[in-house]
Amino acid sequence: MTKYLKVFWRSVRLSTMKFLAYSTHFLLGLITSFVYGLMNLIFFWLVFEAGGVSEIAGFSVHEVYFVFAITQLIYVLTVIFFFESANMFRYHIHQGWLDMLMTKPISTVFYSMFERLHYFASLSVFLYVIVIFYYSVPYLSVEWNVGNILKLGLIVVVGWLIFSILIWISSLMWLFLPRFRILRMVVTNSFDFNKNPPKVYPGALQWFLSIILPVLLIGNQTYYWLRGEYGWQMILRDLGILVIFILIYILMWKGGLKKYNSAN
Amino acid sequence: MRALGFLIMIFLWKAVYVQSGDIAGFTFTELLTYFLLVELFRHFLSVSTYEDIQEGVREGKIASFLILPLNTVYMYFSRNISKNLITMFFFVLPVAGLIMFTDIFVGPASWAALLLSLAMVVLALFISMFIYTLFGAIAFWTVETGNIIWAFNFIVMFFAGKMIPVQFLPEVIQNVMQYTPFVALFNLPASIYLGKLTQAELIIQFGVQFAWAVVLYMVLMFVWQRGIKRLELVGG
Repeated sequence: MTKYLKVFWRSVRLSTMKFLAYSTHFLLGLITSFVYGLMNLIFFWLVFEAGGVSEIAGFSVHEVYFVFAITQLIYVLTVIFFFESANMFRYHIHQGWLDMLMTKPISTVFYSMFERLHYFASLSVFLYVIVIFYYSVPYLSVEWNVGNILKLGLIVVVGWLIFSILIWISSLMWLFLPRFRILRMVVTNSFDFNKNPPKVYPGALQWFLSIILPVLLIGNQTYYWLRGEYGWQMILRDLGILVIFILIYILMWKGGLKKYNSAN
Repeated sequence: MRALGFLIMIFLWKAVYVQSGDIAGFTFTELLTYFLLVELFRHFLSVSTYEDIQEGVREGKIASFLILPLNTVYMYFSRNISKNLITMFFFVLPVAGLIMFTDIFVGPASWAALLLSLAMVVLALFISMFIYTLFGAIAFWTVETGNIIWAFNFIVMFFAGKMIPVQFLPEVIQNVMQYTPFVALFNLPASIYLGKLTQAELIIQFGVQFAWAVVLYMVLMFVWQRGIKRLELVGG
């Protein structure tokens, strides 16, 4: 365990050094990511204002803000911990560097997963926390009991795990098809489906985005939670889907490594 | 992949239009056409000169262009335009087909609207190239410009009408925006196509955007000359 913590700490240190080496670039990256979040919040406000509507698919602007902030927090967490490493994985395969990773006296899965951290999105965390506590929570009609808080926590954790697994599955695809980038693009771009309440989408699309490509499980269930509809049935379904995708991930690692070859 | 963003936008606005019949003079089909045109224009207005300049400065490649007996800026422009024309070729026909053969999108308000819209797109291309090349020229001082462009793109997303028509913004912002070069990039060509501008507004907008094109060109040339003077390259 100590060995893994040491490796993780080294990744944090190296990533931090790398970002601070180009401080202006890093600062601009932080600001840009912050501006992106802000622009999206203004966009939603404009949609409500220009449309002259108080609700979209049954949800007020404060509720939309709340879910948007939750989903973006999950996104930011995934970006910080997994995005850069998942991107580097492609280069490891292309350049044959995966051999080197496999010879290290530590789990290749762990090492490749936490090889590099990405901090650009970290400033946005403050924005989303402010949105949650100042522009959303005071306007929500939710009972803040232990059960509800735990359910919300579960939505965040499951959403984070599902999104991370999806990102990594799309990376593992490169072990089978080294030039196949479309899956990664589909996963990252379809995350935006989370921005809207689920009921704006047709039933078949909702089903597809909850079961087959479960991007609507990356925090979007918060909409059901707001209405008190996030019950055990949904929790079990989400956990079941998470387990299935973890199994797919494990099988892809095992099968992918057999396919991998390099002349490095 | 961009189609996914388009799809997400359509579903959101559809849910809004269910409650309100008409927003800022746009019907739902007009709004869909607006976003479709924005997607089309995006391919024609795409500028990569800043990336070329940044790479050229970072890796010293720009030296081989500077010694050629031609204007380096114009060379970047012509490369960009040729790239855009080829990309456009693959998008114009499907978009025209969608407009002509489906009821989801609307055609141009008139033939004059179509022609004026195209003229504005051409003007917008020059404005877009001047702005982005200007940002690229910052590389002479900073080497890295990626995040400045990224930040600028967000501004364009909003104030150029890429994310939401400018007509949907609060009136105060609209009044300011109509005198900036941003609106020319997406909002003006699409709005002219849909017949959302009066004759007087058309004349003013063409005048304003032409003036911006001239000013931006002059600023670009000034910055470029200053940048070239302080350029230091190793190797090459």
